[in-house]
Amino acid sequence: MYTRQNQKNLTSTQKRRFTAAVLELKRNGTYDRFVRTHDKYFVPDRDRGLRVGHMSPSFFPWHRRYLVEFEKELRALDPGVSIPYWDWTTDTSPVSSLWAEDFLGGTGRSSDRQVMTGPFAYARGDWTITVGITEARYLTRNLGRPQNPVTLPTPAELQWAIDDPTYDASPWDSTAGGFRNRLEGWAAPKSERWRNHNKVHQWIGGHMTGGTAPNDPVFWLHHAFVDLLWDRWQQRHPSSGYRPATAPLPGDAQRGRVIALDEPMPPWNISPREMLGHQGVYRYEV
Amino acid sequence: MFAAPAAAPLTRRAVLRTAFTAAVLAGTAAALAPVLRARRPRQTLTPAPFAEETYRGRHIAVELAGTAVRIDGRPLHVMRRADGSYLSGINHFQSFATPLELARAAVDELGTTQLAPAAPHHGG
Repeated sequence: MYTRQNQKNLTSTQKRRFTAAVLELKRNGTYDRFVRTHDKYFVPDRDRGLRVGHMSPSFFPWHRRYLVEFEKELRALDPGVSIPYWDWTTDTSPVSSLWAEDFLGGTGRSSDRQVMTGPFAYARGDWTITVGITEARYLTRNLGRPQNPVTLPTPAELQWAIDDPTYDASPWDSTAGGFRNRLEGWAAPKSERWRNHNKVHQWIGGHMTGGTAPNDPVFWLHHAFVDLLWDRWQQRHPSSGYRPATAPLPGDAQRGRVIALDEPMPPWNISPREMLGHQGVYRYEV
Repeated sequence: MFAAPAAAPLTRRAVLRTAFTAAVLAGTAAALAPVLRARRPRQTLTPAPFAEETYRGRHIAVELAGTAVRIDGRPLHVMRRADGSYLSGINHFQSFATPLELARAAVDELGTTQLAPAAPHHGG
């Protein structure tokens, strides 16, 4: 049992150990395997295929398992390391300690969005992007998207998601009501209602806006907070649970496209039920 | 930092060529309407049903009858959402009403970078 800490409370030694373990996973090739996995399982909801990571009920359990797998790799290198979480409703500044030289480094420069500071700056030689959809070999960010500003989710916006007593609802996709989509944050184009998880990806910009988002190590801190928020929703609604409990029936357009409570999630063949809690594995510092 | 968004309008030639090609391909009165609105149609032998524009110095080509998008000649991976809107490999967590808006947003995010000649696709 280990603890995931709020990133703002990490000591400089803890920050150094976390980034050192991440850099070592990059060096030995493990990191880029994780980047490919995330991209591979992003299936949009107009497709007929199985959606496991996004636009679907298994958004939370799939990412929980994905983070645990990554954390196992980190802890094999340094058993004192865990994934910190970033509460983006409180640490909202693009110059907060999260983005400092001794942790994740700052925003990208204006010309090409290249991150120039911190351990993941290209010039350091330890962070070359190999799984990307652009020619950029360097990590990119565009914090706050100044040319078309976007703000981080507010506490009220987050609460609006947590307050929904329904985990998810038919058609179980990016148009569905319920806690999952309110937190994942899909909305209509041009709507002001882009929310929470999606808006954080947009706010960070650069690699974090794309399918290879885990190229930016802040991905893990963002999703650790998303994981904590699933806990918070469960505590708020103890009589609600994961839906759908059973697979959509024959004739339902979503049959074969979403994961029910006891169905296996690729690539691990672990069911959402097995991911509902994390007792005995890790806990969150509050 | 970039200047304020300033989309150059489709060149007249591109509009005429793409609209006329679409009309020829579809051969319907509905498809002819944009040609008539363009007032001075000119036939071309180039079968390129793409709408083109220059946006922030980048060349955008959007397939009129489909979802293919190219930026400076490089293909951008385009996906659809259940509500019909469009997502790209560059913008995975935001969707757009049209492929052209999607292409402009990708240019905004790319900065001075180019798309890779062959981007990885999902489900591979």
